Amino acid sequence: MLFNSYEFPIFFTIVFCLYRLLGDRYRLQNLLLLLAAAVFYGWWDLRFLYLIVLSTALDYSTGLLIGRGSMPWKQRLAVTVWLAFAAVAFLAIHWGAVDFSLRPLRLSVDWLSLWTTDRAIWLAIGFSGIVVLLAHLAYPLMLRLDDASRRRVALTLAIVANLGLLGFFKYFNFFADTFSQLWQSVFGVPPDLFTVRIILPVGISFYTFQSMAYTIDLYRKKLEPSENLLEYAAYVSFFPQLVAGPIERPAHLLSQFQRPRPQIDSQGVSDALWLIVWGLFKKMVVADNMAVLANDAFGPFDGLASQASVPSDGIRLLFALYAFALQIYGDFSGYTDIARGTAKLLGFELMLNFNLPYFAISPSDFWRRWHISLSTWLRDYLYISLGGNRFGPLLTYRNLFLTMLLGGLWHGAAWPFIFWGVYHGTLLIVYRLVGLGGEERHRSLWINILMGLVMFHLTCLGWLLFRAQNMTTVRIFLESIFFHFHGSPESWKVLGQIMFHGWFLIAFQLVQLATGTLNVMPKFHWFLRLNIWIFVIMELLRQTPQTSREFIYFAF
Amino acid sequence: MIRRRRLPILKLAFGIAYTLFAVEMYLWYIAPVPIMPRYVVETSYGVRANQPNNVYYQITPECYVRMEMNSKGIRSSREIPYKKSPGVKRIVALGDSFGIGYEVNQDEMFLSLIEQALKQAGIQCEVVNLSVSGHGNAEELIVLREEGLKYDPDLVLVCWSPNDMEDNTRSSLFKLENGELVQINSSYLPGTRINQTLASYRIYRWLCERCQLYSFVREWAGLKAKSLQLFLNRSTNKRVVEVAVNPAGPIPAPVKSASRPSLNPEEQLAVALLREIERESLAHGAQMLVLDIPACGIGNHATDVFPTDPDGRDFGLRVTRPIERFKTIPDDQPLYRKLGHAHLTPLGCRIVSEQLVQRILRERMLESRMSPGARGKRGFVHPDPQTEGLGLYARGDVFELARPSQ
Repeated sequence: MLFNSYEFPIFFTIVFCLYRLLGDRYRLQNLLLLLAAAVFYGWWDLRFLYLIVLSTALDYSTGLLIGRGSMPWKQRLAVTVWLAFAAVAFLAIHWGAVDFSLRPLRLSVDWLSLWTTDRAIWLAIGFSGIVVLLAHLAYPLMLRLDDASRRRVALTLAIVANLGLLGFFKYFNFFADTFSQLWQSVFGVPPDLFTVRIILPVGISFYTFQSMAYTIDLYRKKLEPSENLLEYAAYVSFFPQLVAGPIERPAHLLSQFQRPRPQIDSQGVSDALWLIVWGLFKKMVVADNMAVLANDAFGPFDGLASQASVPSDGIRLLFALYAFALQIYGDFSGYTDIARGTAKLLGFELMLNFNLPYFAISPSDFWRRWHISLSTWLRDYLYISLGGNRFGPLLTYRNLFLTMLLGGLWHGAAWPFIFWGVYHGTLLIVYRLVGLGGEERHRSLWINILMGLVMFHLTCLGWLLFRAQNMTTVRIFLESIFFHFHGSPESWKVLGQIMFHGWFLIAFQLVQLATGTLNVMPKFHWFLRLNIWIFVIMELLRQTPQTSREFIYFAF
Repeated sequence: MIRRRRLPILKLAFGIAYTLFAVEMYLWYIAPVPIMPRYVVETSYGVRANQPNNVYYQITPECYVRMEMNSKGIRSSREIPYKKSPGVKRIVALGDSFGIGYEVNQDEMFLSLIEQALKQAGIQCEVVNLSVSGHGNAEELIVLREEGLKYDPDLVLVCWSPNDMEDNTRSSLFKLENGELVQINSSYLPGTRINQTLASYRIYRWLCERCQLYSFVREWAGLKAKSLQLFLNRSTNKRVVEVAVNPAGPIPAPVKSASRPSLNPEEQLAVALLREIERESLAHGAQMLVLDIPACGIGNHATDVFPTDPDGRDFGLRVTRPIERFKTIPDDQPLYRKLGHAHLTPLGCRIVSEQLVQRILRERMLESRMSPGARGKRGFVHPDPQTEGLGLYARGDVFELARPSQ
């Protein structure tokens, strides 16, 4: 279900009312949130709910083994029953065989086609059944290990299984294609393997990383394990941030599921509603309109770019890059704002994911402001694990480079993301080498502005690598911008559109920067606030393109 | 104390008043909505008609159009008696907002243009435009039976627009039952009485004709209500609408093929209604022509959504399709209004009228009056275009048409 769809407000209103009716019975609220997550995610594809269940069961079990050293039979039974239920409900039953209609009210079941005939699904059920059986058999062996070995084995199991699931669903197609191309270049014929295409489950990278953070934190003894499966499942599948983050830390979010939620006051409601409306504005007014401009420029090169000629109006392509920068920012940070707003209405605080990233003055400053939950995840669980900056400059550069490369790969197994990761890794190293690696601002405003402008253009160059579907497109854009830097009527039209749809976002962020706070609305006079609300809502109603677009980060 | 207690109320009242004002200003100066009032009245035959003797204006960022209705609710500045003068040929036009010429002036409407062009070609002709915004083919059939035939037409012109199929379902006046067209409701007057009552108040007319906020809210609410009604009617009708067998002849059985999948229920109903209109017309000695108005796309990239049979033909109906001509017009000469309700521009109207006049003259539709008793026969005349005089219009040199795309 999309936040910007008609279904979501109806869904959320129902969930919110039921949630409030439950008062401070937070365990029942957890159950409600779990059911809501099933509806929210199942709206897209019911089958992949099983993956979330599997990931939850895996990390819950290994978490108990790491944190407590044992897993009583009741908890083992709960996990087994839960997995079996999910396998039947989300995989085995073909829900198309159940017909329900309101006018007239009736429910009919086509018993002959109730069970799925998809062999792949029965294979998955069989495979996970065998894994569960092996886990039960291996449990007594695990208990015999000493504490340190058991913790290490459990952590290794959790990481291998999580990365295995992620790797299979996210990277199978890439490796299959690369292998096929390699095979074809050597033998001249394509191999008869890998005819299967794997569908990417929405949000798998987000919830897998969130789950992994839990087991790693337990291993590092920063956390107590969750004893309650329901509570842990509700945490992993919390619907506002399930499909596109922020990638929460258990110490921050899981603890909120373990206690009654604080009462939200009128200021809290106002802040939450503003976050939702502002997020929708960023997505539907800014990002969706910028998408039209960016797609117009990139579209002709998305297919066979090798045949395309270099446009003579490089200024237009530069503006198109600006448009894409605004698009991806509005899209992703808009999603985060809506997620934070909806979570806030339910009494949860989600972490900040964006902090005015285009005002960054250096690459390290940028990564402290852009997709903060991923960059801090990579820092805490990858960069530091690799040694961080503790072993001299050379190894620090290597660690930075590897972290950014894997950060690029996190977005997907495709060459543009790999190049993008390499590019940002290189930027970090170069800035460090020339002594500009810090994020402290210079005393001179003009130098800060200059550094900000340079960094923004370097970021845009990164977006070119990210958005272009092939390297020829990158070459054409760079050639046109650097060697044919001319304007055209179309260029000024693009700039006009960027300013028309983006001016308010830019102005608002300048105020946020100047006041040093993101929550700037309460600081304004009520009359100014009223005008801002009117403007933003009217923009949402009038300036949204007809075609509703999915969030870009759903694909990651 | 009293003053302090009143302060929040005053603040709230001011806030509401100011919000209304600010929204109105936003809509006027930043993102204007088209102001397109619609005044309709109930009729004795159960469908909407234009309010007679009415003058109002349509204001959009692209046009300022005067809408004038005569005493019979026809968009015309003159009266048209039922009895036609000797020697005058009559075209009765049935349609919706495209037919009534929304977003173009009266003299730019394609129905006005064909009247002028036929007169120039030496045919004394009168167009009786019975179009009403919002009508589908179901209502058009009723209008023809109850009103159109009184004008003794020589030609019935159905201005078929892409949303007719949805309108037919929404009105729920007819359905196909075992392949037969059956009238299931005697009237469809959505919100007509309340519109009629409100229109008698000056303040309401002012809101309709001058207030952006009112137009915005009405349009939004109207769209939602229409979608809901369509959804409910579709869910009710989906099990009863079957393959159509029309009184005017069998509709070819739906055939699934790669190029042309089978007709959906709404297409079947539309075809059945058009064939019934044709049957009624022929029964009264008039011929029938369908104008297939293409659906507006991006730029001038219009699409044709008129249903065709498995052979790619039109179920034996005579259909004029301007779409091929539309494709030759470059995007910088728009055929549709982009900032209004996507009706035809004056250029779009000129092209449509050119196509219609060519067809009418080529097939001599106004020359070969059929005997009223020739029920079920078709008075098609298919002259050889090479030998028969195509007339001035067929050569396309009367209209100052747009330059074709390079």
